[in-house]
Amino acid sequence: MKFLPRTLFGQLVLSLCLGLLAAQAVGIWLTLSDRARFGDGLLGAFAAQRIAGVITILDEADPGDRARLVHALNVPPTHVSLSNTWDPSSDDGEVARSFIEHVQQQLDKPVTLQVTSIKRAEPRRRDDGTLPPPGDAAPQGAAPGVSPPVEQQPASAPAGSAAAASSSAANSSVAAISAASNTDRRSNRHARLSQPVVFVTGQARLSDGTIVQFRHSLPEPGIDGPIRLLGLLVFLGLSVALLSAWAVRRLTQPLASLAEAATGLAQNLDRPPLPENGPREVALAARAFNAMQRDFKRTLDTRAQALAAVSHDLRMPITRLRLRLERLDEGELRDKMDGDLTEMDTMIGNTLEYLRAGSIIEKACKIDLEALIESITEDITALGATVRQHVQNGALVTARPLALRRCLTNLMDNARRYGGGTVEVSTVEQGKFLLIIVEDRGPGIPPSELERVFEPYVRVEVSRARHTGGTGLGLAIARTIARSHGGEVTLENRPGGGTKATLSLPMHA
Amino acid sequence: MEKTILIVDDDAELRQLLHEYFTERGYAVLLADGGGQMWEQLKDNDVELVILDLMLPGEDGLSLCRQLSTQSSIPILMLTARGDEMDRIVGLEMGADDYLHKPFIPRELLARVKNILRRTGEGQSEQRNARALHFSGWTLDVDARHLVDSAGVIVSLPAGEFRILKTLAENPNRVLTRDQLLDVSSGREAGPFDRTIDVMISRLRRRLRDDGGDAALIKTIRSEGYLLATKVERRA
Repeated sequence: MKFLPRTLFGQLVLSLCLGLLAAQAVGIWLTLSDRARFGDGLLGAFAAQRIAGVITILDEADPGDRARLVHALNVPPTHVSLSNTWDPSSDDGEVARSFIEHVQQQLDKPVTLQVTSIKRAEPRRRDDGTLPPPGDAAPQGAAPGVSPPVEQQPASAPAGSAAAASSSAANSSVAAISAASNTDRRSNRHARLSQPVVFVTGQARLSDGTIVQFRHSLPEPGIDGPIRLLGLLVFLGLSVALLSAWAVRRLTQPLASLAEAATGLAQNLDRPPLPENGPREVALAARAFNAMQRDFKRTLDTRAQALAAVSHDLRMPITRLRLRLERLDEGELRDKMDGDLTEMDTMIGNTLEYLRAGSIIEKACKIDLEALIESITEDITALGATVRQHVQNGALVTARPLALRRCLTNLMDNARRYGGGTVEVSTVEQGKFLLIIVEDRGPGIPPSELERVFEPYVRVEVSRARHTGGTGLGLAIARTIARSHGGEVTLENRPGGGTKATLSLPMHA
Repeated sequence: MEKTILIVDDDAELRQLLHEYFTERGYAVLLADGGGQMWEQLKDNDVELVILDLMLPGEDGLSLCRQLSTQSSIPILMLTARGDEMDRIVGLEMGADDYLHKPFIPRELLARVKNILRRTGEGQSEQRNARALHFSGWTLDVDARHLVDSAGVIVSLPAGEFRILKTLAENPNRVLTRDQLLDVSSGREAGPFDRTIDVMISRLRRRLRDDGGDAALIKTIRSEGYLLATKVERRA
């Protein structure tokens, strides 16, 4: 089964082509056999009628006139002669028997009738079926130097017997004879130019005991048909295969782009809508997908707007509270309230930043990464951390400057907060990506939490995070920014303790 | 002498609170709830500083800011609830002298107000529209606080180094002492053995791909200080 194509395109084209092939095979067989039966029926019926006519005339004729009559009746394609001896050889094949039966039906009164042989020969001249001179018993002898006749086995020829079985009673025998000759002919193609002939040799005992020997030759129908027919069918097959390949491609292409769109949707909700064309069902699917994308976007936008509005509106009361606090006497209470306000402010600021993180208002520029990291290092160091950096000299990335700064600041500040005071920053090129690695020697993150910490408002060990003022948005912001640049942020635990954050950015965005 | 501040904000309570806050600290305070009242107050009074809310109903704070900065030389301090870096840059481009986002810490607002008033007192106000300084293929973007090289690559600078380079570029071919530079970079006085400025200068030289030799951009003047030896072009 592994040879079956996996794609819908391949499977459809394969099944269409196989179906077409089967239909054509049946078609060829039906055409050929029909045609053979038609030709054979005509020729066979003629032969049986003629033999029956000859027998009837000779039987009814005066014995003295017979010699003269035989001479008159001895006209191609039927050779007739009178004999005194009954040829002991006999063909008991099904074809021979049904031929006899057919002749008998044409006779007014029953006559002993026997087919001695049904043989095939290559005549010297194609337009004359009765070349052998009278008295020549073996027809093949009449054509010396021509390829020897093939042994005739009409009963065992499948096409012949099938045709005989399916044809009407009147035509069955003669059709079988000619069908047999057809089969034969097909196996002997090189003899096409000299038209092959089938000889039916037989004898009849007239009512007065005279034996009439006859040999009737059946010329074969034109033979160039199958080649032309095959050519036509090959042409038909090829054009249908090409057409179906085109049609199926047209059908499956939108499906492929639909799948691609669905994959990309999670990354970018602002992707352009799918073209709503193609077959109606596919166009409907594309339209439904576009509607879904719009709904998603609207829902998310509405929620983001609501969150932004709340965060935004909270800033005014906080500002007023801070001014009111100034009127209080200095002391522990005022300091604590001040701290609470600062925490609220930070949360709001981070929330707004998170909601903005994926936006692309800012223009992307080339950025000297070493200078950027050094500049952030300065800020982090001022907050009380040791930063060691191994940054490639002259490493450039194309990014939105403020967003990238925010992203890297968040990662480095996380390392400072939870990393025990020492932050290591390094850069590595990996394929088409530049990796910026931020490492610390802190307690690390439980493996089950490594992905979860990227979700907004999720913190590891809430108590500690609250002490250090984290809002649980830093990593979510960093990842959103990285992804909006076609990159990614991942976290892992370092062997020997600590956390390793990797920011990957495409180098040629 | 009492300095006059005009506060433009649509929130009445905040206006009142700011009024009290600045009055208590020795300023004369005028209030306006929007563009209309602001223009009236400016017509009737001598105002030394405008504190302007960006998020005003009706006429946008940004366009008010632009009009104000083109029509007068009164310094402007922008307040906004957005807290967005982009807004800060846009606000500064529109002619604001400084920027503070809500919710601000009152003492920080006071410090900024003092700072702007001190600068305008020293007669530096005409420089405030220089948004970019060009020298030797480099551009120092004053709003975004970074350097851009001739190929358009953004070179970030730590805050202290940015301020030193800005000061040097604003005073090209003039020797600035370590004390002066330390004052702008961190606001403190240099001790006798303070090497901070030398470290920052060497970092700046590395960023500017400056080897410090004869063709140096930042020249060391022995026992005096440093100077930026190049032509500087200001652009608004």
